Amino acid sequence: MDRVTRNPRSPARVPPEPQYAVPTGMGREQFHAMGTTITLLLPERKVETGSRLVRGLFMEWELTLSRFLPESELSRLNRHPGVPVMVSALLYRVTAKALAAARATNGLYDPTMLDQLKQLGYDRSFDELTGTLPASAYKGRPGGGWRDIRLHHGTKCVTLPPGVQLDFGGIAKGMAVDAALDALRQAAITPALVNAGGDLSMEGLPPREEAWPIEVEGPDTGWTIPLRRGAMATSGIARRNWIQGSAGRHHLLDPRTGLPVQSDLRSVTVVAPLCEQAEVAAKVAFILGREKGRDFLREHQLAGLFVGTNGRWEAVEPWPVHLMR
Amino acid sequence: MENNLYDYDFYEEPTVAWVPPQQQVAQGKPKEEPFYEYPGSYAPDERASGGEQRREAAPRRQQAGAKPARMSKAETLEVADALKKFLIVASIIGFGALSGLAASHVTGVTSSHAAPSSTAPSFNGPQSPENDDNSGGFFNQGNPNNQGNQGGYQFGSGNSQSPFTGSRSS
Repeated sequence: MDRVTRNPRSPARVPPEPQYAVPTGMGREQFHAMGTTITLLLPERKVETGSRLVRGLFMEWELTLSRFLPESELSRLNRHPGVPVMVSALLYRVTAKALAAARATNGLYDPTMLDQLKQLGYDRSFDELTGTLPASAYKGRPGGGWRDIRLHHGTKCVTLPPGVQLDFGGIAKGMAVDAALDALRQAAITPALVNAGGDLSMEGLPPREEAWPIEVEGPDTGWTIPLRRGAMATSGIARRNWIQGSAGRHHLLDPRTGLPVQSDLRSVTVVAPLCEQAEVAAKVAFILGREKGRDFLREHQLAGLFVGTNGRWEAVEPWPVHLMR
Repeated sequence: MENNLYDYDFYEEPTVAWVPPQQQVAQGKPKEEPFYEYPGSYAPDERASGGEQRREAAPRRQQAGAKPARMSKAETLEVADALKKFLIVASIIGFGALSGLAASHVTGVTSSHAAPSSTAPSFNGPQSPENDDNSGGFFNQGNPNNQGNQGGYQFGSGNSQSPFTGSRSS
């Protein structure tokens, strides 16, 4: 079974996923949400039920957390800086998690870089970002606005400081993958794999398989890495890049400068227990670069793969280098 | 002495000649005003005609029954006023205390979520393990069901066939 359906709210120019193999006894389902392609691998008899479950979850998350939907709860929150705004449990949870990630990375993951992204031209859905954008006088402005965001757990109120807006980016996608897998687990729909545009997590093993073979992208060809359990995410500049005036731009901003990271890296792939961790760690490792990024991953006992624009790659243990082919 | 039972006064009280009620009125004897005792602390109007009699009657009742004296209206109002003042003060103190607790809770949450304020973000290199408590344990969390040799994730051991899906820049 291999089906693709489209969400009218995410009619994205998302490149379709390559034709991957389907494990025996399982089915594949794809749909578009949160600006990317969601791929599910589920037991063949439960594809319909599982797909409905995950689709509903992603729909709710997108309607709540998208910065591109003016009616989303996040957009409403961003329109009311300086005053406490009572938010839903979902928005509160994602905000609290994003702040925890910011603290854990000393601000290298920063959910308050929206204004800087807009200054760089990323002011609409990436699928609508076509052609060369007009030049801008923007010279960069450091982030750090997350430090003054106030949360009140009892009332589920969020207060954004004036001039600060939230954009969760990849962490929301990673959290949605983890939540979808939890929902499938609770509904006894396993084994299962959920992949949101490269942020993926899994539960159980496909019938007669000892691991899930996952393709990791490289400059020309990729590698197939067998993963038995955990989550994987890749951050890179291969897709979300554009031209502003005469300057090349991409979406991975360094909060210390407020400008796109200048690096020889093309992508960083990280394996972690949870997808939200893999997503944040991949982004931070990309911002830090090879040397400091490697130290960062080791510090947190996360496996990773740095791939340079010149094709040179470097792995961080326990990445299974011996299995790369 | 003739022992006539009907002539003997058992209580040695003086006998009083019976006078019909109509004649009592006619003789000008003041009609005794009935005494009404109201529940609570109602104090009858002393300007009323029987005021003096009531003032005399009250001590008599107190002596006989040994009951505490009832408060006058003025005293009752004084006590009520005092109670009102106490309630107002207690309410203000209680409200202040609750507000203080709530404010300190907000501050606590905020301070636990925010690093020391600065205009530019500071970066001190990779997070050290001893600072993990400050980071909220973001990288320490993991599904207990997935805990394994590699901290909640595990690679396969052999070369595998065609991939089932891929991880790429999103």
